[in-house]
Amino acid sequence: MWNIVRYRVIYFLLSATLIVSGLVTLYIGSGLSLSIEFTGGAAIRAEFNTDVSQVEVETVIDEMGYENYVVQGFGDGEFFIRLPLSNDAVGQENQVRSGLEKLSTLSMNFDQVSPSIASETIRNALIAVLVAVVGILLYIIYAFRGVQHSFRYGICAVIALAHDILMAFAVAGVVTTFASNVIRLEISSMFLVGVLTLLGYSINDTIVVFDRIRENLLRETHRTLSDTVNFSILESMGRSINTSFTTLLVLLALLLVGPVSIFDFIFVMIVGVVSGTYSSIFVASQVLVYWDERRSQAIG
Amino acid sequence: MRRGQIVGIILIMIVFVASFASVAIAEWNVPFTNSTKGSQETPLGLTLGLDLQGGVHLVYETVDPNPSAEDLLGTIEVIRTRVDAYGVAEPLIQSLGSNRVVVQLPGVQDVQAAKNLIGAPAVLDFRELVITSTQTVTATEQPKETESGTTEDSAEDEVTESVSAQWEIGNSTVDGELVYINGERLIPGSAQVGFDPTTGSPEVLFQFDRKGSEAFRLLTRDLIQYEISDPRRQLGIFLDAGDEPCVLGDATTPGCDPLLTPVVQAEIPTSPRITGLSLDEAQILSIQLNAGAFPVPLSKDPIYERDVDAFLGADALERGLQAGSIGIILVMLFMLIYYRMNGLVAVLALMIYASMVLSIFKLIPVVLTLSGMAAFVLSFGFAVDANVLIFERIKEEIRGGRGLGSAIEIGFNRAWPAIRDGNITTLIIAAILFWFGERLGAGLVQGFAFTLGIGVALSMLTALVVTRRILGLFLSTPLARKLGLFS
Repeated sequence: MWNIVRYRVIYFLLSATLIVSGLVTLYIGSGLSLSIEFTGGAAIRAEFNTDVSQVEVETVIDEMGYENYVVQGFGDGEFFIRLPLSNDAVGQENQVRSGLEKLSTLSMNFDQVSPSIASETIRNALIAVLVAVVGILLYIIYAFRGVQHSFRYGICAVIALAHDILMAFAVAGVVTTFASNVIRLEISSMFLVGVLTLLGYSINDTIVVFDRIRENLLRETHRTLSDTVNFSILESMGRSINTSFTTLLVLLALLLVGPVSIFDFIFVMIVGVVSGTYSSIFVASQVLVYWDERRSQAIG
Repeated sequence: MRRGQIVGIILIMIVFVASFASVAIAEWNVPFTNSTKGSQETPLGLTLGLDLQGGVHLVYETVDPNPSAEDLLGTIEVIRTRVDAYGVAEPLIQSLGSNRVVVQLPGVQDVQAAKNLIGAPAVLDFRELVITSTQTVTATEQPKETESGTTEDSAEDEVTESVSAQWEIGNSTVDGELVYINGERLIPGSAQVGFDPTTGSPEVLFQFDRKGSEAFRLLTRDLIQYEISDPRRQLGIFLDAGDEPCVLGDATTPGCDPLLTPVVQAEIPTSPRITGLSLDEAQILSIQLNAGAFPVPLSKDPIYERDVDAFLGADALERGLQAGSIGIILVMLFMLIYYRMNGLVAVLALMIYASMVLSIFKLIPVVLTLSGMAAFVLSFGFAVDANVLIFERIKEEIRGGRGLGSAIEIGFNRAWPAIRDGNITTLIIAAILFWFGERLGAGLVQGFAFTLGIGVALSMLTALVVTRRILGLFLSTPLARKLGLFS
């Protein structure tokens, strides 16, 4: 039988390398910024009817007296513009619209967030993630109460979760550093919805593998936990691959054809599905075995 | 086939036909009531969110951080009256937390006018110019040296006279009671837009209540005592200046720039007119005056604003529908190719699932947003996953040498704990997202969470009931003998 459990040091090293190098790139490249929902400000998505150059757009915004703005062009007259709040917040949209209309006729989405609500959003997002993690931990400990050390399953599932979330940020860091001219990615509320959905997907995937382990432990098919885990992973491999494949099909369709406004979400989910499937098999289950063997060594 | 199975299959078929029909028919009347569900104009008659049809999403905060629930509701009512009078179709106005109000106006193009309409307290007041001169006496103690080097006598004190001119809210005593002439004295509903008979320019007409008009008459009677050239003969008409006096000529303090400063010509026994406005401004002001004052004032600027262009919204809808259908068709093809007969069952179950979810969206109705579409697609993924889990188990049991009947039975039982635990954790997350979404202020996250919750709950149901019944149906056909089709 194919022994997956034996090479676990390699999996841990692989994950650690990917995550650390990605996060370092994120830190140095600083390409991934917080969206206006978290900092306050105004964000504009403009689609001009004719092809307008980025310099033209920047000139118009300079003339309005803005500093510290971001203009990003996607070709075909599509632009993302980010501005600080103007003193006349109510009049800002009209000011920007009439300025840009000098270049060409356009369709424009306009978002504006005041800094007072922004700081609150960050706090609430962090609370939401924490509450979700605690809720999941408690449920898994409850659901696995029939097997020995049920809290270990909860902890291992949460480690896999942390792995997937860090991976999403790491990949986002690499993408925004090296492909910022084609991809607009921000930590927005859609990004966070992606992270929270990723929580759901990742945990669902881990539970399927753990469910096999639970079943096989109760049936006492194998002598050691290591063998049981290995057998369970192989048994559930078909399902893991098929489910992540079908989910990826849908996500790729949304990425290629779908609307741009949910790009942040789709991006996080695609990373999350791949990482979530990987981490159930190569992180959560392996940590479970590692923990068990460390303990037996300590006792024996 | 057992009788229970036949009943089960018939029930599933009824649910399928009913939900499919309710989705396929764009707009229909609910039997025995006058209400209609769905709409002719949107795809499948679903209710679309602002991000898909265009419009404005605004969140306001009250100035007072802890308003009473009653006052917040009162404020919402005032906004509703204003918005209704302005003529926006299907606005959504509701409280958010204890001190915020969400206003959603679909299809509104003039965002500026919408914000002027909603945010301003629109409190008029009528002020008189009060000039006070204060004499400040400064004693100079040190002798001052003049150019010529002689010392002047310093016994004399220096007197500076400062004059301050302030606009103060006009008041008079009526029936022994001090009456301030402000927005509270306006009769709600009395404001209307008129046109000056000679110039034809728009103006706002309104009426004071009895005490208000008496106080106003007394004020104007006092004002005409001044010379016609005296600035104190002016009446100052202010909008949203607050309760404090305004210094003459101060144009920076919000509201302190007067709308009008007419020179009073005669004692006025009726109510004044507000002139010098554009037609739009006159209409908005009359709507605001009619709606009455806010029990608690709102922040002038919205704390959160999201405007979606109608064209970009329609584009997003089209892309979303395309991407969703392509994704779903690809998944169904994969299921058919990989799982063959089981896959066909899954495809049938997924079609029933999709029409049930869409039917619920239409009946409640759930507002379809971009994030909601993403959640629907994702919950479809969960429904597929439940089927995959079941089929993989059935395949295993068949490989283990069981007949189709018992393989299906055991396969379902073995797959159940994983489906249950996986879906319950996702429901936990959907609930937390829903709670988080309310805090966030954007409908975005809540729509996602609600859709995900409905989708996941139904996916569990379809996998366990529908897939199982349909597989059971195949058991009673000759296909059941061809085990290869199922594994």
